[in-house]
Amino acid sequence: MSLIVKDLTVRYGRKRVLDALGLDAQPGQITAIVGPNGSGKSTLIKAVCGDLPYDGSISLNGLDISRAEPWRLAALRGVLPQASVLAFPFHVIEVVRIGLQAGSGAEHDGRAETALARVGLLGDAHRYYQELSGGEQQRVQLARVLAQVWEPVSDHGPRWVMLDEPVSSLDVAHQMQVMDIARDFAVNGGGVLAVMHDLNLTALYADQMVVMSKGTVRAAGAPQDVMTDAVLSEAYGCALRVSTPPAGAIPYILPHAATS
Amino acid sequence: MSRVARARRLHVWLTMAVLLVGLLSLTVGATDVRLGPALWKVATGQSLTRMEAIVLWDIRAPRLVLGLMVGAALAVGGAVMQGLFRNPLADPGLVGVSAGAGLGAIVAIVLAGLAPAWLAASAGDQLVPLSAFLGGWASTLVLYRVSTRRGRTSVATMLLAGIARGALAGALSGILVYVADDRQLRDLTFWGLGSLGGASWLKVLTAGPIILASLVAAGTIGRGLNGLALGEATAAHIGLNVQRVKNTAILTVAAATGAAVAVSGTIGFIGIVVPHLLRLGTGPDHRPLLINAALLGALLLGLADMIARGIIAPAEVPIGIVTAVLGAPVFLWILLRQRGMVDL
Repeated sequence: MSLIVKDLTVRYGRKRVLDALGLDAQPGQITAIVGPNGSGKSTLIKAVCGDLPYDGSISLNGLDISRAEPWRLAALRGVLPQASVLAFPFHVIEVVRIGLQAGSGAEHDGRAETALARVGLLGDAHRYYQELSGGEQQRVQLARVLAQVWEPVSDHGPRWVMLDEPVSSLDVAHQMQVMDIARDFAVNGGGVLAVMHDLNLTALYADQMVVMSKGTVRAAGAPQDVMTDAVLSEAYGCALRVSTPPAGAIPYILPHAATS
Repeated sequence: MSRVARARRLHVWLTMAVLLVGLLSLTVGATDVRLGPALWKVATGQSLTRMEAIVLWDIRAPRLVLGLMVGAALAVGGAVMQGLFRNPLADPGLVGVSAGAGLGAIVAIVLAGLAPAWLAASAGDQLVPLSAFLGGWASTLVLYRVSTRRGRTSVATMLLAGIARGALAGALSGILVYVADDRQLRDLTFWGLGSLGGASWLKVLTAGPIILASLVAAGTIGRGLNGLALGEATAAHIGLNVQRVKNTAILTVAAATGAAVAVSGTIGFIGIVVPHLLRLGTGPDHRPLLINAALLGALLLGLADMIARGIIAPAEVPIGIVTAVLGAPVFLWILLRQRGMVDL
């Protein structure tokens, strides 16, 4: 009952964007993928969500995702994309309900309202989605994902949420709100896989940190173990200094100015 | 009341309006035959005059039924096309699908003599609608393939490809017009303007099953089209079989448009104006929208046909002219409104 990626290779034309990548993610944890731009983070999460053809194997709770029907996967995991487009003037609440249509059919049991309340947007339920700011739209999409997966654990095992840069357009308060929701989901037994940019925020929330560069995993483990000067500087290709916290505390990083 | 509840209430109002227009349409016409007296005769066991029977049963009734079906087909075809391309301006007419269906019909009219005997014998009167259907289907498929890359449909490519396809279909049609004889030319002119003038029960029976089947098929993808509004990737993430939705949508548009064009020629603007008006009124949820589109499309085409028949009676205006005169300003208004130039 976990996410297991083995020998994952994804090509865009001739270029290998992911090269024989391996990854294990456990339910009950937030697994954060970090790495420089172009390292393959988004490609990895897209492959895990079944959006891309790939070589190798990806299994979620023992289910081979390349063979599973869409409805079976949808009952198992929700996906928050990096950027969301929406055609037509739907209301906010209608967007959240669309996430419910395909799976449970339980459209009227208040899930959509509850999910919107969790992201703090219940008051905007009957506004047009397009009227909202980018950050608010991202939270609406998160509410849609929450309404879809609903319970972190189902009768058939843990459920998962896949988050592609969930906090990229949010202010700091809402970054914390979204990460708290993710942590809450994990604490209650669900699995969270998130692509992250902010290393300090990642260190604060992630149970497992996966550092990628050039299409492979450079290091994986608890943030305290992975966040070292050497690992990060090599992965990002620039000088980074990680603070050395007292035992058990959360590390944080500061970029070196080029001249120092 | 939520928008969906309002949309469902609209089903009832539109159904009643369609019935009303149907009754009016049966009683209005060039000859002085009225529905009321005829119905009274039937109810009291008297026999209709031959004139009444022919006008009501052989002329007005099939024309009404055909008009309602074509209106529903065009409006639903537009709504599905817009859902598939995630763009409110997509329309089988705008992007050349109707032109493809028209070309199919023209091929069948002009080249019917060249068809192998077994084909002519087995297809018979179905040859023109069948050919229009295939033309529309091929057009839709090519359009979709050309404008979609890695699961993302480019609207700009779609419009440009649609224009190119329309031009090509026009050129091929031109060649066929060039070689056509006088009788065929008269038939061909009819496609360009759009008319319900040649309505007969045979046409109703030919196009009816295809149109009804495509309307029913369209009704099954309301949820799918809602999901597609979030983008194809997300539609798959929430559990939709995206490819099946797309295939159904393509086949539905091709069948509905092809059959409609086959029996009535190219009638514009219904497919774009009807869904847009409904979205303004009751929101974009495709489940009630598709039903309302069928009803409002039928209603508007029924009305347009009454205008077409009545405005210069006993002669009539091709219905395509009526829908264009009424539809084009509405279409422009939609465009302006979307650019924020008109605040209504």
